[in-house]
Amino acid sequence: MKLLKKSGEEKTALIQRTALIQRTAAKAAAFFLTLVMTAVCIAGIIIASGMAHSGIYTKSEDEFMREQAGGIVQSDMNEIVSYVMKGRNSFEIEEFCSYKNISRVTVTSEDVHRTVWSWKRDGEYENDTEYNMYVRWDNKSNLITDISSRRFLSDRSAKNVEKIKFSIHYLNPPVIDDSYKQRYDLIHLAYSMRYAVYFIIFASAFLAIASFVFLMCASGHHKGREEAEKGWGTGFPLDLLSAVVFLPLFPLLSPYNFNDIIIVLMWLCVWEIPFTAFCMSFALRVKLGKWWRNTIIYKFIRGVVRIVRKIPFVGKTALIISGVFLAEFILMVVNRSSNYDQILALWFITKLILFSAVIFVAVQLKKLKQGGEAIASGDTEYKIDSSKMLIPDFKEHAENLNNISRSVNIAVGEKMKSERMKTELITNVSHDIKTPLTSIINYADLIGREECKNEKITEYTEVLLRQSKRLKRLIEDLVEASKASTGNLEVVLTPIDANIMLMQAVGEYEEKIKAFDLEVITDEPSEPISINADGRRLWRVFDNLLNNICKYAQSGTRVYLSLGRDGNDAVITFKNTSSAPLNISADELIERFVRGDESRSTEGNGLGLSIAKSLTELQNGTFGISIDGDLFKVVLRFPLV
Amino acid sequence: MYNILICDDEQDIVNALKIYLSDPNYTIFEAHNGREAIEVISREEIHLVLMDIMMPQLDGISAMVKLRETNNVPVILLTAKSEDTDKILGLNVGADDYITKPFNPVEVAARVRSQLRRYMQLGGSIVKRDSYVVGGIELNDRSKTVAIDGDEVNLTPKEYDILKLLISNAGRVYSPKEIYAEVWKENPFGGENTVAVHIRHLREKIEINPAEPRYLKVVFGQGYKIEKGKGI
Repeated sequence: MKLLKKSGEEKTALIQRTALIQRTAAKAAAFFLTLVMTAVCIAGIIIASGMAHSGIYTKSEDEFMREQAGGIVQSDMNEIVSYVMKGRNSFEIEEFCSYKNISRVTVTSEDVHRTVWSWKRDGEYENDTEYNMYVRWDNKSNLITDISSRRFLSDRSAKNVEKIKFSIHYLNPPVIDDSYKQRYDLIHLAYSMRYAVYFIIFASAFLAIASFVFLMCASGHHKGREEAEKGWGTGFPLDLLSAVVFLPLFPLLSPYNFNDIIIVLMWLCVWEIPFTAFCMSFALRVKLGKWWRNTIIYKFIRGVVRIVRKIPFVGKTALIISGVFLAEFILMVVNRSSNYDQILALWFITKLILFSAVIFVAVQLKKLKQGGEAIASGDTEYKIDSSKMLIPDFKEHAENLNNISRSVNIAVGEKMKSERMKTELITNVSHDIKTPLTSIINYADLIGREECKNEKITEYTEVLLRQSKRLKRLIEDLVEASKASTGNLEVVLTPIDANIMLMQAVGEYEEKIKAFDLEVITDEPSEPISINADGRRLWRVFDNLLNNICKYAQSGTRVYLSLGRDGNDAVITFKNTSSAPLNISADELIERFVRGDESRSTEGNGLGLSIAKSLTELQNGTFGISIDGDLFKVVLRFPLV
Repeated sequence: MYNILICDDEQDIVNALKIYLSDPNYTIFEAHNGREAIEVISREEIHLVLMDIMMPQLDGISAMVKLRETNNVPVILLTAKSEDTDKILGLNVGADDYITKPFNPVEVAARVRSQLRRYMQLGGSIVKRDSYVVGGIELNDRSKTVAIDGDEVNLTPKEYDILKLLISNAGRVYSPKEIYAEVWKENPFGGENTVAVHIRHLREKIEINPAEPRYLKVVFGQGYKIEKGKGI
């Protein structure tokens, strides 16, 4: 009943864990319960196995009793036999019998079938248990030659040997307090309890497990604290603790000690105490997380890893490879005597391991290479996945590459931002310049309109007007060049008929070109060529190029405009003969403010080509210039629709 | 007599404009910010406004928005801002024309004249039958004459036909090939090259600034069209 009550307590304890696990008394009780119940359980198992071995579960109580009481009956019988055979006083035998639970003794001679001696207790005993003993008696020497609980089947005896049967009846149930009664009571108890043992085993096992689980949950929890706290020897290295706790078990495993089961069991019962404490410590370590950290083995491995990490990459590689070779060599030497097949298998296995390691390294190198290529080609968004790189040096390298691409990305962003700010600045400044410029142009114009006798004033005014108009143009071009080069310009790409475009451009410029005494020769295919471009921006490109031609082409020469198809590109070519020698490279010519003529005497500001190039590129086209002597050639390429 | 309001915060520019627009028919009023301009307009009967955008106190755009609540007077914006977005914004909030600084004085005078004519003479006139009107262009198919802001211009028959084709389908883009086929009534075997030249000539006759046409627009890579609506 007491056990059942405790079990009920345990159940509520589990339910109200949060409250109970913080109580020291509850924990102490659970600890005690665990120890006791485990001991009970073990004892129960031993008893049950012992009882099963003696056959308590297969035999009837009577039969079992007979078997178990055999020793006591034997000793009683011996006493009686010796009394009878040695012809002692029958009073002594009677006294002996009356002190035992014996109800009747009959001694009969088998040979002559007569009762030699008998004794009977006063009163009627119906449930007597009868035990028989057969004795062979040598008349000549007055000695017992043979005693058995069974009848002698064959008669090998000589003439002077007498066969005697002893029959003893025991009281059932026994009433006199002697060794027989004690044995009888014990057997009776064992027999009536033979199934209850199982219940005790299960109940105690359940209780032991329940209280053990409770202990595991409760370990580390203290009054008024939410989280588990250190304690239970968590500061002590786990593997050392395990050694201390588990080493005493090893002697028990030797067969010599194992036979002495009682000592073993007692030892186990005592050992339970440190073991339970160890379990609580372990449970607490698990709760605190990373339980493996506080072990000597972990610390040792970590130390080794740290040392290895400090070794430079090449040294590390050399160390690993030489380690592998050394292991291989040792294995070869050890297996020198063994047969060829074994050596072959060993070679195969080592090479397989080496192969997979090399492939693993190669895969990571490939990732790094891809990342490096992507970053080198300007893909600053590319990220190398370093999460699966197990080799720390490679991982570090991947992260370095990622950092490079990130910083490049940031630098590019800053550059774009500063370019945009520059454009804004230029735009704003140009607005501010334009207002006074308007007045300059207008008043120069007004001076020019005044009738003036002084010719010099008229001439100077013309210069003033011309130059201020040039300044106006320069400011406008500057704004446009800055916007075009930073891409700060809205470009709407639509399919455009390049043939019509060319025709319109020529039409717009026909008269101007004629005025410069130039002849335009166009060459276009009959099939329409369609490109994706922004008409107005493209016109600006054509405008600048044709304007350049007007400015710099040698008068009296021909200008060639051609449109063609080259693969997936539409190619538009402008060719003209320069009036001034072009002592300049094509790349320099596109630079802002660079002009073909070094004197800078002609009109123009050197922004035209730069703007045209930027605008072409904004429309996904390419802008190429080639100079061959005086032949100046511009090639525009746009992808076909 | 026309009353013109010149509104700019730069006195020098106002003075220069006054000189350029000195005409016995014009009376010039001046203002130096948007607030003053609105005040003058509410006080005087103004027929045309030349207005700067960047001005202290009240800028040109805001002043025009306010002005347009009650008044339909033509407004020409004069500004140093030359970006397309600025132009579109100005025209969207109700400007009739847009001139960027530094301006050509002749062009300013021409535009002023054009706006005044349209506002004073054509504004209320009934559109005659057989005539097409877009902005300041009026093409009379019966008399075969074309007038720009009331002034008749001389066009060659081909130019007239091209203009008639485009104006009668205002807003539609014609490719050079189509124009050639419609006007020359021939198969365009390379002949459409002349269309561009004719268009250029036509533009010189009907536009104040052929490089920045108000009516006859070049749609690069596609063709030509007459802008539908009032035209800029």
